Amino acid sequence: MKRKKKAKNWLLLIGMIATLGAWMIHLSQDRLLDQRVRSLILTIQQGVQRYHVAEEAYPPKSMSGIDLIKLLQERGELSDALANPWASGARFSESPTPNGIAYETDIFAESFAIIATDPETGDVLYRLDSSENPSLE
Amino acid sequence: MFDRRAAFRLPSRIKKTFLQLYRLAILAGIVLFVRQHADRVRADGDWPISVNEVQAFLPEATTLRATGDQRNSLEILDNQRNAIGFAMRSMPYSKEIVGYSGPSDVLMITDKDERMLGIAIRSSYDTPSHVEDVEIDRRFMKRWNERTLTEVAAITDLSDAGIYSVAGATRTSEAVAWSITERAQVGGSAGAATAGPKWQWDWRDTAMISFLLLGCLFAFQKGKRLQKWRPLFSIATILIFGLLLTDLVAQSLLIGWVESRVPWYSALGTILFVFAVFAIPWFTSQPVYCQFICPHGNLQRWLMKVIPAKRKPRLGEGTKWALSFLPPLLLMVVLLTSFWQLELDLASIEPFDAYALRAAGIGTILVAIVGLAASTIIPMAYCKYGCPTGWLLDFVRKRSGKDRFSLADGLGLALLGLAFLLSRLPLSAFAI
Repeated sequence: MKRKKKAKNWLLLIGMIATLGAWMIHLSQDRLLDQRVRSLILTIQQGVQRYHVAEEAYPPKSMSGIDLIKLLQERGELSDALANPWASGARFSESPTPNGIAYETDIFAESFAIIATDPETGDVLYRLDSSENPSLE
Repeated sequence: MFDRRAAFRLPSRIKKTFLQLYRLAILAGIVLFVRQHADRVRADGDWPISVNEVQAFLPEATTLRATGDQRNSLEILDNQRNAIGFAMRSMPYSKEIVGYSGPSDVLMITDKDERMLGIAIRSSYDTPSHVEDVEIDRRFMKRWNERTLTEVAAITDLSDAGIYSVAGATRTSEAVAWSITERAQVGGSAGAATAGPKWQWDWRDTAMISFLLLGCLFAFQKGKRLQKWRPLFSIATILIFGLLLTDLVAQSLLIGWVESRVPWYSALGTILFVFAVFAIPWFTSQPVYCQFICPHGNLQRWLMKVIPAKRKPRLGEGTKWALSFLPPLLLMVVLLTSFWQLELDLASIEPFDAYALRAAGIGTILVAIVGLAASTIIPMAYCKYGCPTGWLLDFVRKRSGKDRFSLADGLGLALLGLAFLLSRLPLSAFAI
């Protein structure tokens, strides 16, 4: 009986440690995803800048992130190995969804905005554009 | 007969003093490691400067150490741990300085006299070809060398200072130049020319100190004439200290102060209060804050009278033992959150923010309700088995009677060990 009680108490302690540990791991996964999304949006922005140098205008119409990435990859302005952080790091060419990237521009293609949203909730995570949000810092 | 153990046994008074100093050292050590890490993150920001980058200018560099000063720079050390210079990045201070199409992050290296040794463009949101044009223009890149940070900070006209923009990348090079001057101004004497901050003290500070003094009075004066007012004081702490002032001592407050700067000028009353909350039990063994002032503790004292004692279930000793680990485990959560910069509002692991009512998040409200509900069945349930701040205050409290190295002291050492290990990891380990 005493041994059963002791085991129960140890189980309670291990249960608390396991619960808190799982919670911490979940939070750190969120942070890692957050960092990868930041890195992605910066990489795409560099591709958009290279397009701008070549064409003297930004990509001419607003489009989804995957369409923008395809366009830039076809032109060699983005690497084919670009990873999708929402698809456990698989390449965009292999796993385009889910993804939360969107591209916006004006009618003259003189400005750009790259927006990263949470694919599940639609909440805006990051916005990088040529006017009010020129950096992610 | 010669008793060997007795011969080596320390007198009780010396043992007690040693253990008190040990506990203070544990707390100080944890604070130091958390602060060092926060200084590193602040200096390095989102793109930590690496030794490799610095070695391009100072080949003998082996370590970078956050200075924690107002410049927010990194001190460059050689393998003898001698300071040989400073490294800093222009971001995030220069994030509004846009060149052709975006700002740039510039690495600035100085010698130990803050004389510029060189710059490098680490990354840029600007047009890549323009950035390249700037990087290959050696005249522009080397124009900064030999100037002190103070001289750089004082530049108001680039051409007067002999800094000429790069042909074909004028706006990008000018943005890089202004980013450097902007960064040089951070923490420099130019910034100190303006009037310093003013000390602030208002009715809230007076009220907090009044509660502290009254709490001490109730703790140290046990006369019946005074103690009959204790129930009224207890209600006052809930209504006034809790619901009106809402300045409860909590992990979110303490970690915020440790990570950034203690707001001496704007929150002097709170600072004195928090200092006394830790100092009084350390010197006197009286847990004044926990036992007399904390509104959540006082609310639990009222709620535990709701159900008669004989109708309450009893917790087994083993269960109490297991649950007693929850507060130090929550302190580990606090440390991991601070080091890893996790998306966790530390206010949500304690109930104290719930007293702010309108501003309270769902997490803190849940913790408050569950803790209070539990206290109707298990006396002072949250205080004993859920409060990390209370555990910390009890950890430093002087023990009355005999004192010895206990499980709590071991757990404190484990927390210090965790803080030490986390502080030794490179920033990349934290995905920063």
